[in-house]
Amino acid sequence: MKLKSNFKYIATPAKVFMTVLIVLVAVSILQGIILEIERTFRLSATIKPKAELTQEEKRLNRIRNSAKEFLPDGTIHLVYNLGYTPTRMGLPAREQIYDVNDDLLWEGPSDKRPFEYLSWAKQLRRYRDGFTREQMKQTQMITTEFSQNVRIPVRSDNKTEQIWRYHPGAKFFKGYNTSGEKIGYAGSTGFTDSKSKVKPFEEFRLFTAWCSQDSSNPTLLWQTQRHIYQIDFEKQQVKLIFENTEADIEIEGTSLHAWRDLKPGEKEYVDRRKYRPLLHCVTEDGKHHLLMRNPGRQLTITIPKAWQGWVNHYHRFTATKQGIFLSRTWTEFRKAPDYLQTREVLDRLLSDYQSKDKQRHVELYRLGTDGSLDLLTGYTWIVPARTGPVVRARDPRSAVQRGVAQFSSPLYDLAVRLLGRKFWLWAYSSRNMGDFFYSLARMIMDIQPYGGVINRILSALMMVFVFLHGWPRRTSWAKFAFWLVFAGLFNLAGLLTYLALNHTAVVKCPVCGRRRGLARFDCVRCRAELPAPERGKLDLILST
Amino acid sequence: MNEIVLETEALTKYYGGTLAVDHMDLQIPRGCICGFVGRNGAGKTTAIKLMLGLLNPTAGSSRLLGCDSSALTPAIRQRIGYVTEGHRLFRWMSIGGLEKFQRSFFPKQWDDKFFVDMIEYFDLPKKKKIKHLSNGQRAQVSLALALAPNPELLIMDDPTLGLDAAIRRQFLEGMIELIMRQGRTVLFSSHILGDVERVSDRIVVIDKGVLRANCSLEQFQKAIKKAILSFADSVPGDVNIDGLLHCRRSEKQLELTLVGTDDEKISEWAKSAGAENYNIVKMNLEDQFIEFTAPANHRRLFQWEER
Amino acid sequence: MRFSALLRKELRECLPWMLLAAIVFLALGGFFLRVEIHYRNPSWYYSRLSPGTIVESSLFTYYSILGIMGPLLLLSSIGLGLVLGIRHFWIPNFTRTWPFLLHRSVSRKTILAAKLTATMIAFVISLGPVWIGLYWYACRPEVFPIPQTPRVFIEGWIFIMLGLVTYLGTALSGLNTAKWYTTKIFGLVFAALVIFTIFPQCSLVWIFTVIAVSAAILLSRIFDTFLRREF
Repeated sequence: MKLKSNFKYIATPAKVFMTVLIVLVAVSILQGIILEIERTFRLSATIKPKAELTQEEKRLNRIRNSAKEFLPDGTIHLVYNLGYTPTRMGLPAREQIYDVNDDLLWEGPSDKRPFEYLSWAKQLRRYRDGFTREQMKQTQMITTEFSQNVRIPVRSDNKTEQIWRYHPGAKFFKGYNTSGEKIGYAGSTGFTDSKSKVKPFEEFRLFTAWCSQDSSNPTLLWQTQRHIYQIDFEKQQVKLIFENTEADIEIEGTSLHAWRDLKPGEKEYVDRRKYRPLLHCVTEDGKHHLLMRNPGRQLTITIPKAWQGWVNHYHRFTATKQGIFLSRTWTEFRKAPDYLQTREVLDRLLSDYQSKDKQRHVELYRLGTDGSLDLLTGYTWIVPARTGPVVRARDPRSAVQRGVAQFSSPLYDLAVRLLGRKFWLWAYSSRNMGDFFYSLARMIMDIQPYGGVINRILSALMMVFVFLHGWPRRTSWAKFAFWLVFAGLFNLAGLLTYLALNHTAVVKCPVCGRRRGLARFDCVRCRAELPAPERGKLDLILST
Repeated sequence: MNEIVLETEALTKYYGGTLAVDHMDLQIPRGCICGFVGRNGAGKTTAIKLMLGLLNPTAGSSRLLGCDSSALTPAIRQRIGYVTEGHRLFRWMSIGGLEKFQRSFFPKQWDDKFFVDMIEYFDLPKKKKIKHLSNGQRAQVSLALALAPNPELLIMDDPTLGLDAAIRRQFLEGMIELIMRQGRTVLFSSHILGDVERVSDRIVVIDKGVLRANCSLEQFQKAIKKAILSFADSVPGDVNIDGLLHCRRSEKQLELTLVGTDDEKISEWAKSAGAENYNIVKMNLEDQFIEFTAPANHRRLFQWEER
Repeated sequence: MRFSALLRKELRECLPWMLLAAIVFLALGGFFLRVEIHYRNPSWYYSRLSPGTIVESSLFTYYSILGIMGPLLLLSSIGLGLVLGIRHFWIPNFTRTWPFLLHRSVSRKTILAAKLTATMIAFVISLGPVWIGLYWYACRPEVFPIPQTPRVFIEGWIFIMLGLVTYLGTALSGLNTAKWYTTKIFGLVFAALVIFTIFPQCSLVWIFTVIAVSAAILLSRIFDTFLRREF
């Protein structure tokens, strides 16, 4: 009789799970290393010297790469940045300005430009002036230095007097003075000194912060699901700037222009004598909302259906004393609504797009008081077809990648099928679930066997190995069948797991002469037990 | 018939593909002092560990005090003393600490006076740590810890390994102390046949995992004999005497090792073979063991031819 | 009485390492904390704010001052787990004291339970009070004006739990009789995988679930292996 354990019913599946997990990771790492080595060699071999462009090609590229700027009267100029020269590092770049007939109007350093173009609302960008939901999530991530939190200071005479800390779980701010005492709470309805009275904000989406010209304390523009607030911690005020009951505000669709009271020379400074403060946001129902000041006004614009579905399509807004303007830019090339459905559809789109010359347009509209659009001017130029190899969504698999993927588990195909391609593309592209799942998604997509015949043959071959190894060692039919199926499902990782967990010794059966495992008392072939040794004639085995 | 305290039935153990113990059938009766002997790598320690449930048998079974070895209950273990091979104890503990540790597992049985007497007899200070003790002192502590709970069955795996003669003598005296208590059974493995000869009343010989002898010491010593026959001319080519184990030849002499052969039969054969004279050599247990376990094609370095 | 004897024995084996971990963590942690408190004083930390400028949002994200001790706590915890695992389950393989320990009038389960209990106590009483003490110290207003968040306190305990997971992985590897280049180190590898999965995750529920499930897997394997293993 062997030593017994009551834990084997949990421990045995746990052992199999642990081992297959580690073996899968090890096999995947090995596959990844092979792919990376292959990729490095492949990429370095495909680098080719750039072909010399013709004059016409250079001209078209110049037009294409020029910024299309509008003068207040609607005139369109093409501003081409010549870039920095090594001797002029630190000084403004040189630029050329052309008119729509491609005549050179001016050339010189960009800070000496003789024209003043319309400036437009700029989108709040993460890691620049926008703090997004992604970043807020990242503060919650546990690192070796623990997680972070968001704190807003209130200073006076160059000393910090208060700190307001945001609690993502509770969705409000708690304030402390420098003696460590709690001084209040800030929520959607304002500041309060009682926790029971504070009303939490909705789910956080975005914030931006600036110090006004008359203060060194930050003011926040705080965007949640359907509201935008302006919070001044120094004055302890929470103002509701925008509210939408019908749809959520898009996370990265908010733009500002002259909204923040910045000092001249600051990067995003806009002269408020010429422009009205403007906040532009887009809701998920496709509507554009404009909030303006001086005078205060809110406008909602529905973009015409005919404008939708074009490639590289975007809008910009600005509000001057003369009116509210919209700049629209798009390329005359339609993308199918399901273009992200599969990689093949996306590749076809990219291939079509890059292989043709396309027209690209920019237009200037004036907005009426009722949100109507009045076209003022426009300009069209050619985006030439791409010379050289087509850029793909993902490069087609190389022979090495296809070969390596044949050793992957067929279960990867099943996982992709069950969860759906959209899930994997989302996990792969958005990092929404954290780096671990991003890495997992990427790994599975890189080494997915895609139902290859060789993969299935290899799985069957692993089953054959398991059969040959396990047949003389089998202790029960259930276990034997389990490992056969296991090896088939997990391919190479399955075989390695099986070998790791089933390394029973074999001996030659003294009765039938064939190999038999020692995990059971009798021979699996002839059922004979191990025979006792022959008693020597001279042995002294005498009774007790 | 005496109660059997230890029995094995077809006990077999493979290490990988190597056979360590092969179908061992053994019964040890109560009150017996059994010497368990064998050459290096014969399978003694493996057999002991199988009996104590420290190893899983490949086949067969083993029972101690009526309980299956793989399911020894705490109550059964309390009745068994075990001295491990090499006297492996916790090196960081002091003797006093080990005593307290060991005693907590035998709250009713622990013979404090006996332990203290033994430690004092061996001149061992209680505060000394195990790692500062010599091999012999560690053996003494180990024996004291095993004997103090007054076990019914004492199993010792090569307890005198590496000890000098004086310490071995002390060790055996301690063992005799236990033997003198009624109903105690001792199984000890050893390479020192002199110790086995001194204290055992039963001998078990294991060779390459196979049980070769299981009998009283007296029976063993009586059964194995060596006869030296002298011849005037050349020695006979064919030796066909019952019980012949080994035969060594020189020019005019024949040395026969025999198992279970009467003196009369030896005399008869000597006459029929034409021996001038013969002599039955007295052997000690060590010599008998060496001859008994020597392989059939055993060579000596000097002089003698093989059979 | 028998269990307490085993527990006492295991705790005494752990004692030098517990003290070492606690002293190292306290000394180095306290030193780094003082340095961090000095350099992260909020009075002058925000001196970059000036009128009429956009504020970089990174200025508002703030690691706790206790963050400086995070790597130290993690290393102490993992180190303690490794050392205790080796002490309990690897060293007896070399000193060959398993037969002496196993031939006790208690079941193998009790012997193993004593080891595991001793280790849990070791972690709690060596690193726990130091962490609580340093956290309490950092929360005092006269030391640092802004109190720490409860989440950081919980995260410190997560680091301590990762040390326990490391211990369990080391134990399993020590009990495994396979060759080191086959499955012997799988226990350690599994513990390492768990640690890598934890970082960086946001949800405490997810983290505790992962730790609980992996600890359950390791514990069941340890018990099963110890009860059936040959010594």
